Amino acid sequence: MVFFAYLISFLLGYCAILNLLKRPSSLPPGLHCALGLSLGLGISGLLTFYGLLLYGRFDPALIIIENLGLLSGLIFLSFFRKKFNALKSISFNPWDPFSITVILLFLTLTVILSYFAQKHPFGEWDAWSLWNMKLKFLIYGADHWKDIFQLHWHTQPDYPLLLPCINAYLFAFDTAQDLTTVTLTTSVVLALLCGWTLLGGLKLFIDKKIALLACALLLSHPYYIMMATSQYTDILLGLYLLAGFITLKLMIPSQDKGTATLTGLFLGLLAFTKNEGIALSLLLIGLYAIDHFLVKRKKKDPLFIPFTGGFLTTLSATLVFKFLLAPPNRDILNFSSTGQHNYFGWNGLKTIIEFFILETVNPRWHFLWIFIGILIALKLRDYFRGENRILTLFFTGYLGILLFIYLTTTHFDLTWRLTRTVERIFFYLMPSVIFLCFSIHWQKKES
Amino acid sequence: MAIKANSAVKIISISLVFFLILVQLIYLLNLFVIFEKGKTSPVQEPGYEFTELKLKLKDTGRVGFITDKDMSPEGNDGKFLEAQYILAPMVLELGNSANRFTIVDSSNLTRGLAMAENIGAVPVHVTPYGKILAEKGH
Repeated sequence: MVFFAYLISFLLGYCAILNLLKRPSSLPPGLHCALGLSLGLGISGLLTFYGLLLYGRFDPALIIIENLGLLSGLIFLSFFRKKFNALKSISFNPWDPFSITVILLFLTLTVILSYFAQKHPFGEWDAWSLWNMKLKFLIYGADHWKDIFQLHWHTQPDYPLLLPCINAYLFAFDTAQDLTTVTLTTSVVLALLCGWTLLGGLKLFIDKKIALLACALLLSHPYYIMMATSQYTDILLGLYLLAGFITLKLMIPSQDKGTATLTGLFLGLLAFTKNEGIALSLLLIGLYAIDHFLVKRKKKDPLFIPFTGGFLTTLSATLVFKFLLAPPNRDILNFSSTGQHNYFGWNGLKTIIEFFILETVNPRWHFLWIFIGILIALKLRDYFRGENRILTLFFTGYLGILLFIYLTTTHFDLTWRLTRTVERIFFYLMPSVIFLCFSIHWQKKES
Repeated sequence: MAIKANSAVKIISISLVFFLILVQLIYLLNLFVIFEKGKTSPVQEPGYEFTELKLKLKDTGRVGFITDKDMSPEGNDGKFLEAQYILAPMVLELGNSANRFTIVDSSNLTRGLAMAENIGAVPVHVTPYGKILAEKGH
């Protein structure tokens, strides 16, 4: 039954993209499917969240009806706008060596990821103590599901709920199943989906064989496998950031309004994934606006309305969540009278920088960041050309934001906080960094 | 010359990618061996020490949770979060003993029983792991 849940989400996302793009055939089928499933799962998660708000409790039948209703509407719209004609041009030869290699790679990785996921079936600390615990509230809390917001601050009650909502949606299709099976399967699917999106995205800009190598580099990374199957929401954060990167890199040169809406939708979903997602999405949008209006000195942007429209559509859940439901955050940028910024100074700065440098050479990453450093050094100038400039400055800006957040630490010991969070930051940035570096280093001349 | 240098860079880069994937696969293989050798017992669900209390607390919305252990974010042993996870959707209130039921998680049983007495509650159940369920007005 969970298969049907995934199928409905996939079709939802696929049809949404089909209707958004002016020329759907411009998007390669593999990437269309990967982005379709990513978007669809996000939409299903949002529908579940709104369902909980509207009906006041978890109602599997109503969640299924919501999703099927939206899917029927999108299918009808696709027929009406003759969008399905684009599918006729798709040709897929499963017997060509590249396709066989991709299929074999993903089959092998499905086995490997499932094996490791079963080795920690309840996920790691934050997974069970935050996300999976909240999932129980959403499903079994009945009218009291909003008690989530009254829980002890150790459970981060202000964190957005996309991952538990996606899992609640998947559970709605078979309420007899064990919750652990749902969360475990989601982690494996998201880990594979991230690799699939990376492959599809890179194939647009570089040779497909190199794109496959990049995908293998990500998916075979032991630490990626361990973190992705830990059931943290960071894998979802990494996925939506990557999807946002790919669509943004497509949107600027093509000036396609549909792609702009799609980028906005992904960035809105990113914001509902975790508090960090809000900062990531706002930073990316801010940098795009600065580049467009200040650097390129353009007065108008035809993509502005579709881009912000898409963003606000999915951001709406975060706005409702943050302004109407969640308690204020007490860990980030705490400027209250009780907060003492003991680390705001040279010593704090030194500790943070040292920690970040040490993390790049940490053996758990198996030289990945050193390799990335070499790639960047070899073509440094290209990172500041065209739309790459926005993406490169995005990482620099985000490091600046992180630095400020760490410096204003009030409720934790700074070293402890760094130990617990830096590795995860590297993890969720990893797919997007690989995408950016590979797409620049091996860029096709025509792209 | 420039073209030659460019292709050399490309060859070196691709070789590096292959090298990295190879290193990763070796580590992955190593990880398989570690898992197979080291973990023979089944993984226990977080909060299993409190599972018994689920039935006792059926239909209870809020339960107190008191402890004599370090509850700082850096130093806590995770038992409060484990209890919250396993007993969800029940709300556990750390440090609040005003509810009818309170879970006492102490470093030893004698101390735990004294803690229950101190809040004016009677221990109604003790799990095999030494977690006490105390009730007021029993």
